[in-house]
Amino acid sequence: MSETVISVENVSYTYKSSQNETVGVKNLSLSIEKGDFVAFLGHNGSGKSTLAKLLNGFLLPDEGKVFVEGTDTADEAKTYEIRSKVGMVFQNPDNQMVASVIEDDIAFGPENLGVEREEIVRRVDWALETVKMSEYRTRTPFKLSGGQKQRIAIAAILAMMPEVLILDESTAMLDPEGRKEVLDTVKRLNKEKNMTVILITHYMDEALEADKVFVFSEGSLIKGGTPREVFSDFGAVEKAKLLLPVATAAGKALVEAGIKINVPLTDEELAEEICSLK
Amino acid sequence: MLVEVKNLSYVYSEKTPFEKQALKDVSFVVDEGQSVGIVGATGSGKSTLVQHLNGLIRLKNGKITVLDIDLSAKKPDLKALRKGIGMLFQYPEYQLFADTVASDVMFGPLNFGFSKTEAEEAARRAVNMVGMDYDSVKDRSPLELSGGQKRRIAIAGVLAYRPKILILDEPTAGLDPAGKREMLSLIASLKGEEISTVITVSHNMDEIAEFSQRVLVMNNGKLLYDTTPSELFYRLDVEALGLSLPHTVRIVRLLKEKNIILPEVLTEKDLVAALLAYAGGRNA
Amino acid sequence: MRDVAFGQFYPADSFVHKLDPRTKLLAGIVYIVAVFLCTSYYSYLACFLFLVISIIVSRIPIRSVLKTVKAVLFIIIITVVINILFYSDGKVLWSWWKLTITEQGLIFASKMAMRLLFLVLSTSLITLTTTPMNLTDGLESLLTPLKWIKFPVHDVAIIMSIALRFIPSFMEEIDKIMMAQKARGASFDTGGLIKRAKALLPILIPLFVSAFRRADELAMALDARCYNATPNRTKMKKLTFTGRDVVAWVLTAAFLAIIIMLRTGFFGLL
Repeated sequence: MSETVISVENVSYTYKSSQNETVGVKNLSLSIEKGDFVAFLGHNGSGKSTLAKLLNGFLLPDEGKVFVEGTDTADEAKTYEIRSKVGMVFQNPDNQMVASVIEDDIAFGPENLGVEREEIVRRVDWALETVKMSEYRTRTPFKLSGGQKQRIAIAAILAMMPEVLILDESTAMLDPEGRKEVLDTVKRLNKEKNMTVILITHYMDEALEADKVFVFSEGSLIKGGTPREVFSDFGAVEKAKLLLPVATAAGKALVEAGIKINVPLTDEELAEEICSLK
Repeated sequence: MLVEVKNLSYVYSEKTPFEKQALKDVSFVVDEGQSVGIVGATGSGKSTLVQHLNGLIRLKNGKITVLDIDLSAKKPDLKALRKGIGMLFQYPEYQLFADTVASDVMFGPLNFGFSKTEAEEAARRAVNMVGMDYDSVKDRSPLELSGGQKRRIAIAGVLAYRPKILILDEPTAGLDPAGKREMLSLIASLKGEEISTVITVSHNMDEIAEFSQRVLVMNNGKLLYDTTPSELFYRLDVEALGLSLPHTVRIVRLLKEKNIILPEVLTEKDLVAALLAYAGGRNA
Repeated sequence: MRDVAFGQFYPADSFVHKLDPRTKLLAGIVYIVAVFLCTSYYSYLACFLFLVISIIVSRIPIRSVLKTVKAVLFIIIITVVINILFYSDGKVLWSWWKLTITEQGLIFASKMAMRLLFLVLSTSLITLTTTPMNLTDGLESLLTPLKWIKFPVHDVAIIMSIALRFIPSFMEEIDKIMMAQKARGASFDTGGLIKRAKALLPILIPLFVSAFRRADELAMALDARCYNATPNRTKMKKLTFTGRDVVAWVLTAAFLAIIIMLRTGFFGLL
């Protein structure tokens, strides 16, 4: 039994400034089920981040509707409820921390929501444990690595007990090690706590383990499906200006040379496919 | 010999509770025409090392000679040094400051004593070199450009004074795939025709495998290996150093476990060629 | 620059470090008042002793404490020199043109110097032994009564805490930008005043651009964390006084009493 957490219905949004108008997204529809691990892929300006901001009510659609657990994001009385339900972690780990001590930073969200003192302490404990940063509780975030800072940022959102966790290019500024830390953390959250995760990224290899992948280009959804369905659609990948994982790119070259293999997504799969050539 | 580093050590915040040994007894030589990658986990001393080469950190222990300038001298000629060894930091677009692209790119040349006309000519050359049209961007504000374009302008700002050596710190960080591809081909095109030696600091092993002829591996402030990419990725235990393997190497290694022996390739192109050769042999 | 990355805080495990920030702030205020009540040399001696004992108990190396004076040493010297040269009452020791040095002037200037030194050292001791966060919490708690006059105590505390949080980030950023411009041949320490001021533009402009970018992102992050969701904001941390604080109050009160007694000549008892 799946249950829809977010549904986007024919949504369009245009950025307007005094000089010009830029399309953010146009006529988008999609839905996200509870417990899904979803990836939004696309290059800069493809509309993936605009969509994310529409999901938690940072932006309100010009046309169409966005519902979070049945609540319309345009309902002003529910703004904070929606924001606490759809938590968002941003790109730059340095610009989303408000306090100089880690536990204070994590407590900030629940404090804003007026949560009881004892409950805040419990949530801070839990959130830090979930991202495996408990021993850093009373330290300053300043000296942490990028990956650790982003895990703290995730904990800070978790402390608000959201239904959905959005990572808006939260791995883009990290080194490979930091990216792995953050991805492992959200994957674990998805598996163990059944947290709905939306991972926004331009690295295709981060989307490999997603349940569903949506590819965006110029404000439109050009492809949606399992990673295998999406990555095998070379036309869509090219149109979205994405970079195939090395194994997939090599597999594609072999297929194009007339060698009959299934398109691999990982290094292991490519090795299997080569092995099975008889 | 373009760069010679001998027994370089460095301690941050000496004699305070925050003291940290960043470099320990590092020695190496870089010759003309090389592409050198510097790799290592965060905090391994890579940045401290390259900042020394440019005289941005004052040499305390050891000896460094860059382009015949002795940095252990009492007053080394820093202007000449910095003109000869261009340095691009991480996210170089954040250092753009002038009101127009032209004046930002001319900033370096003017500081290094070019005349106004020479600087303008240098700026035109450099901007065109990074694949943008000088006449159409020169009067625009650098802040109006897209992320990838800003980074190109920042690179032009260094290329403009024609350094012999170019140091790049994570040149593709934060770019989207299209921007990344453009940046890598730009760097590849610079090497040779314009710059004799490129030193790249990178976390991305795929890029190191693709572009470097030589790799310096830093670990806890020490220079652990000075070797070639194929030696590093095929013979040494890279993962123990907190580094990942390039995908190309992983694929070759996985196949080796299955008794399929391919040549020790590094680039994606070579991998595809090797796989095609293998598959073709099978099919025939 | 990296040395002061986290305010001035000097980590140590001491009696002074463990005091409630409100105690330290109040004791600081009492000390400043006391310094201005000083008249006789005995009272200056009392202030000196109180300060020295506090420093010893704080387990911070004297060198680190004295370092904080370095920044304001110039101001102290100027004040002393001006006071010496322009104080005209009292027995004249030396005179030239409109400048005179008098015995009174020397005494006045030396007292002034001592006051300034005590002020700087005592406030430094507070910032050296208290994390900026703790200091903010303490201040917020002390200012709470101002809520009655609709003073936005919470918001001010958040602003302070965010400002403190970003100081190290900006210092690091300035460092980076300076290096990048130096690499492009910029020099910041040659030429006349105007030239030097102009040389700062390549640092200041990127810094402002970055500050705006950060502010933008931070504003979004605050919204994402539901800032302003309810007027009934709660706080995780509650400051609590302990026996240590009581000891500190008693000692501070005793000190103030001594200063007042010295000023009034022990109410005429001596």
